Amino acid sequence: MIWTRLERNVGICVVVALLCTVGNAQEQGESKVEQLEKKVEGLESQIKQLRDQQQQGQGEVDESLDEIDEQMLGLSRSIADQRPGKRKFLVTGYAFSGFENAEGEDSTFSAGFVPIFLWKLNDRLFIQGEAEFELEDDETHVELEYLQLSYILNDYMILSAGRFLNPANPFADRLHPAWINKLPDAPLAFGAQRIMPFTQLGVQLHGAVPLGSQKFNYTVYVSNGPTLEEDDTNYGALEEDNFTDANNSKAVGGRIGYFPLPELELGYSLELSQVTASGSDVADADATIQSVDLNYITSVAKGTLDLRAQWAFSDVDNVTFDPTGAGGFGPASLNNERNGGYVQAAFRPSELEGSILSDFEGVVRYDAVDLPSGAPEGTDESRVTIGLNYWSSASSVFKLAYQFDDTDSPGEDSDALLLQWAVGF
Amino acid sequence: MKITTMMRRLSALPVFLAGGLLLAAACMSTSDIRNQDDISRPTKSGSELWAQNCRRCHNFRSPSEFSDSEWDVAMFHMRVRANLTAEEYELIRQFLKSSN
Repeated sequence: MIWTRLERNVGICVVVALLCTVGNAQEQGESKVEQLEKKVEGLESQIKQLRDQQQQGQGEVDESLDEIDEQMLGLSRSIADQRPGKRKFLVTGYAFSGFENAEGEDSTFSAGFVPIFLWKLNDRLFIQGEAEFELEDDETHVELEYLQLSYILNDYMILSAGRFLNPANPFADRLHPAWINKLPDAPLAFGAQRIMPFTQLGVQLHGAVPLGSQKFNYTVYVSNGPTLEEDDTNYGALEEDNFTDANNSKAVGGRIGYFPLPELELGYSLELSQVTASGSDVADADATIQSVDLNYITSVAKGTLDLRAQWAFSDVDNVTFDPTGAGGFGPASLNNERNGGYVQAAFRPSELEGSILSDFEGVVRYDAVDLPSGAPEGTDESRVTIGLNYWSSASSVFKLAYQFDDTDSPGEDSDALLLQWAVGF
Repeated sequence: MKITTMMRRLSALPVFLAGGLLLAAACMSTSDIRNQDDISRPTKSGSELWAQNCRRCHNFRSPSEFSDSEWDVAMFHMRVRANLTAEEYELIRQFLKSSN
């Protein structure tokens, strides 16, 4: 009986305990589920956030890639724009600004801009043109200084046509640009009182031929040539701006330059022409213009010595100007022989490394013209010019020069202070 | 025609004779100097030719002053203006383009 009650009680307790245990377990399970559910929800939220971030990041990456693509496209276009084709073009040239204070004249500033346009159309065909913009008096002077079409015939021969710098006149042909000319002005015979033309309008054949260690260059040309001035102010002189030929006769000329040493060139040139204009009452006159030149450039005493010389001779037939006297100054005649030129020496201690002296250059030039007695445009004149140049770069130079002038006309000597800044580009 | 005029015309003869001979020589030659053995070739390097030829007129322009493409044009300009031979032109051009 006792055991029966005890068993019953134990059984009841066990049942109660089991029930309690089950109840607790059920409660605990429910809370874990809730926790797990919360964790799952949290994870889902994190995954969603990550997805959102990934999508957002992908968008940024896509945008960046698009930007890079656009930049690459732009670069490709830029490269394509810069890529040279067969035709190649270059603008070069020079500019200058100067000041001149000459005795007996008003001092003045001056300036000029001279672009040169170059086209290399292919391996044989080349076009070059030089425009000159210069301030003169009260206006801007614009001129097509030269326009030259050239064709390479072979290794030693080039055919050129158009208006070209006179190859018979080395100063005009090579040395006149302001950044090359070592003094602010040109020698009289190739500047103010021209003995020979500065340019030619015609056709030329030119080139160079090596002969062992030596070399020579040559030019032969046919051109309109100069015309004879017949006005009372300059009769007897030769006018070179003969763009529409004043007669049916063409000038023929040429130059040969010989290099016995690489540093030395000796040149001789000759031009023959009939210079009287068609229909003129002045008799036909022939002109013979000759020129000799020397160019010697060498390294000496830690510097560069630059020696130049050129002398030209012009001989025009003696003719009578204004033969009827209708012009009010004739009949007049001249022994129409002229000569003029220059000798110039320059030294720059260019090999003095680290010294400011290497940028300075001293120059001295003697130039002169000998005109016919009675020539209306002037008298014999000679000058000595002393200059000091400062080269701020290979193609930028500041020039300071003083010129001592001596003319045959008493009281007309015109010494001058010259300043110029010239830049080649 | 006056005798003096005739003499002047005749004095031009050597110039044009030389020109004619050059023209004839040119017509016989090809455009490639390397095929010719009868005329001496420059034995100097591009830098030597650059130093010799350029300063005959002006200061040296630095090779870095122009790009390769610009040197092609500038050197062609100089070939025409300074009467460089084809060999001189090519060697100087190569030197400038390799040094800029």
